[in-house]
Amino acid sequence: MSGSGSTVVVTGGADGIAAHVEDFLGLAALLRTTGTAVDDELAALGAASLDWALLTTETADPAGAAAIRADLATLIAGVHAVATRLAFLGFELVTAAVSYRATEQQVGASFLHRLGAALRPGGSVNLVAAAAHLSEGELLYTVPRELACVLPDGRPVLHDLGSDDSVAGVLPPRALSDLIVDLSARNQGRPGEISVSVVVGSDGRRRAIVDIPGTKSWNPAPVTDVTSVGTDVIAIAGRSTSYERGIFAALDDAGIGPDTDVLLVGHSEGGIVAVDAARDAASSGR
Amino acid sequence: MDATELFASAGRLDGYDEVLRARARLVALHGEQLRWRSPAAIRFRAELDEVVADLTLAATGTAALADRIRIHAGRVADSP
Repeated sequence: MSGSGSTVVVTGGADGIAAHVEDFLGLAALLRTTGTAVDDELAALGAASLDWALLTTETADPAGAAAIRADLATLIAGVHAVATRLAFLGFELVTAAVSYRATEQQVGASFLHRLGAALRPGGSVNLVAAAAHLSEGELLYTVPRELACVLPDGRPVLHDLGSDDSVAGVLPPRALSDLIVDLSARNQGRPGEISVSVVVGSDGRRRAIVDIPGTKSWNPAPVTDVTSVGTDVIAIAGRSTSYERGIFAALDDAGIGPDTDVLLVGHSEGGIVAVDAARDAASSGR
Repeated sequence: MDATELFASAGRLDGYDEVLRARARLVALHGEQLRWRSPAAIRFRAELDEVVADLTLAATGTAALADRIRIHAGRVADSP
């Protein structure tokens, strides 16, 4: 960002690693300077001249002079202790900042290295080499978009598991908490297992509820699981996934057409896929 | 016996009392603005609160010491 001939560098932000690190370093500097300052200011008070004044006046009030000496010693020890604690807390914050940065780099590099290894040889993006220079924004937006172009996704294969006689499958939800409980139950299922529930409202209309669980396979290498981390990357990039197309296939199989209201309930990856599915369904008119 | 230096010391301590309180307020304010959210952050904030309390306690001790010095200086001034 620039203006009036000067350059302003904007870092951090409302949240995120960079913001935390800036917070840590800023407060650490304040704690360090505060610790040094309270010690220096105490020294500047002139305890030696006070000592001399007490020495020359204590015969008039011996008990008072002794109490002052004791209080002064307590104050000096207390201020030194506070200064030490301030320095320690500042050090702790700097350590936390370094740790945050290192973790961010390790996680980013490891993630990209593993994903990079899963790419086809000769892929167009050299992400591993670029990992050390990637910002948080690039990791969240640019990388998924680039990777989504080269990650294999395949096509969905539908397996009808029949009716669900469990509580989640039989009792219609009456509140948001019921939806969450049902989704949580579905999260315990096998990879790729979703549910399509048809409920009939008091107005006689049929509506469908689709529970979409989150990531089941965290292996970045190509796998047959449609809920893999590769699906995460493709879905974050806003592209259609096998998981999403599987949802549409399941809706078709359940006889849910464009005239039926559908509620997509997703957790984590399921939430991302639900958003992509809703967008694609709206744009295609289904 | 001269109480002048004693009164001067008490005055300097009054100033130090205010400086300590101001520094305690500044540290507390910056601590509150920290966006860190984790179990470690909760522990850190508790420690920071203790240090702020220690700074305020030192300020209170400073003010008490200044008062004690003034009382002593008064006795010195009144003594024959």
